[in-house]
Amino acid sequence: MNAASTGAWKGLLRNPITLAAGAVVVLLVFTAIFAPVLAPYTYDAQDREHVLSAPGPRHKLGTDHLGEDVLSRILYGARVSLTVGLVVEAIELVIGVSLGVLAGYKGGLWDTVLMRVTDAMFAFPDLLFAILLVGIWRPASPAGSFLVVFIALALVNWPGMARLVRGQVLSLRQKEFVEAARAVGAGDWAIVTRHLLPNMLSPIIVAVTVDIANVILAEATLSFLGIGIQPPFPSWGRMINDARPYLLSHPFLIVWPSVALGATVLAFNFLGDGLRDALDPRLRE
Amino acid sequence: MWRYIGHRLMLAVPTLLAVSLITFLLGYFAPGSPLDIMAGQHADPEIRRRLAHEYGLDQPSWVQYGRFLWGALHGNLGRSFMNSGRPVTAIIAEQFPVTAELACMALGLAILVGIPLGVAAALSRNGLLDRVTMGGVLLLISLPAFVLAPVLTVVFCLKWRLLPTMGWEGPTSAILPVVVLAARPMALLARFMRSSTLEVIRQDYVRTAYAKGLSPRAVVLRHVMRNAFIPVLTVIGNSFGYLLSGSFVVETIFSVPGIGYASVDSILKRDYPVIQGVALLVATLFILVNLVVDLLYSLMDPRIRYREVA
Repeated sequence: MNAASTGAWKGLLRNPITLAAGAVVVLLVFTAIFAPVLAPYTYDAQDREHVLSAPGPRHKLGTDHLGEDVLSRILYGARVSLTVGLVVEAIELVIGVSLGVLAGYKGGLWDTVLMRVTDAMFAFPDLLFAILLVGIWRPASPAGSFLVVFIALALVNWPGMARLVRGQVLSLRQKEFVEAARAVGAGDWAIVTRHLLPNMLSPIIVAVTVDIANVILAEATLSFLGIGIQPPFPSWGRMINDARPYLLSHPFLIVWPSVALGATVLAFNFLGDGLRDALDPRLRE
Repeated sequence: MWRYIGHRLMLAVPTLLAVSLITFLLGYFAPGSPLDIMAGQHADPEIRRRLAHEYGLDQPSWVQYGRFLWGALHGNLGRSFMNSGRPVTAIIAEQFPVTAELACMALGLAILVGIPLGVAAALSRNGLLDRVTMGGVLLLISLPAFVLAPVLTVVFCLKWRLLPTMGWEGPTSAILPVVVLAARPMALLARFMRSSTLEVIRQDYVRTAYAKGLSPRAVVLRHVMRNAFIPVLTVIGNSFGYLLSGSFVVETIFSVPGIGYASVDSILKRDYPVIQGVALLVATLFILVNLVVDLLYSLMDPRIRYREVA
């Protein structure tokens, strides 16, 4: 176990792209935490005198159609994206792991019900289901829009995690070390927490990393359509939509949120890929 | 074979029922009464009562669901809260063909470009082409349609004035929406085709094909591509779901008068029957497409058939 994880770390550190992706993620977390310190203005401060101003000394990346500082909104936007990504993943993990373990370990009715429910959920294309949920439960307040987005995206994403965990449990359950643990009198709880869960950590970590990218993308899409995170909170997707009328006259308005979103999603995807290669010993040379 | 098809069709029935229930509940538990949307909050109670009766909203929930399901089975998806109560099926019949056209063209483009690219990348494993392709794949997966679209619009419509920025008239107006919608499935197909090809070229029968003196071209076309394509079929089925929901975004960006555009509009106006109708249609189509994909899969790879029924 220890030797294997050292090997994984070495594999991870050898790949420059994965390292760069990791650096971007660290930078993103840093930005999200210290947004109030880094941003020259608050995300909703409107400079009425300088609406749609070009990048300059006063506003480093210019201002939007409301006179809001683009740089500040981009920096705070990292906070919004990351919060949505992490909260949704946390909910997804709780639901997905517990139901996946129940179905895989207990089997029987638990398993049948889980498989049929996830089948029905998979029948809706992911994004469509999220659009439906958020569109119908339209939040009453800007702060409420976070809650709606959390719940909608978690509801859409948990079946994938549950299926992954169930599959892992089914294959691990047959292994000799689980048999051995049961033979020496370990209870169900001990078998699950001490023997099953630690051994499926790698695929779960990879899935969570890639899922964060998808969740951030989904949030941006919902916000782009006008049904995600509501203003004044800064969502990169919303900023891109707001900038569309000024595409030719003020192209920077659409460029920066696009770059921020693209870089973030790309970083999580590359990191997920790198982790998969590093954690899956079969792929290592 | 027939036994397998019957088995799969029977499995689709409970899924479709669950889908209809989920769709119904979405509208049933939506906040605010549909009556407020149709008549306004301060409407005359008599008008509200009449509307409630007309739309069956005064019935208990299970009766409403029964009617919804019965109607859906008979091609009746209820009536829009707006558009002077137009039947939802009429709205779908008018706008779905546009979306179907857009989605099919995008799928065609994705397959035509993605599959050869994936094979080429696999054959030059770790070479320049492979690295560039795989980098491009991650880039396209990470960039959403609404980032890709403005970039292409600026270049092709505003700078070079080659293509129209929006609308759905004439073949040139279709180019950008199709390309933008195809980007992600194309990238996914290239990626899966690559890993599937890598798997296949290690097999003994490929070595045998080389050993018996077949030209590399013949080996790739006849042995590698055919076998590598089988698992990729599933990805094509899944892409179909993305194409349908991605059309929501792409149609909104380019003002394409399809079902996605109409749905986003209905969502913003809280026109629940239209949203439910579209959701039911898309989910049903998605289930059917995946069913067809699974059947094709079992036709091409007999091992699947025996395993699942036994």
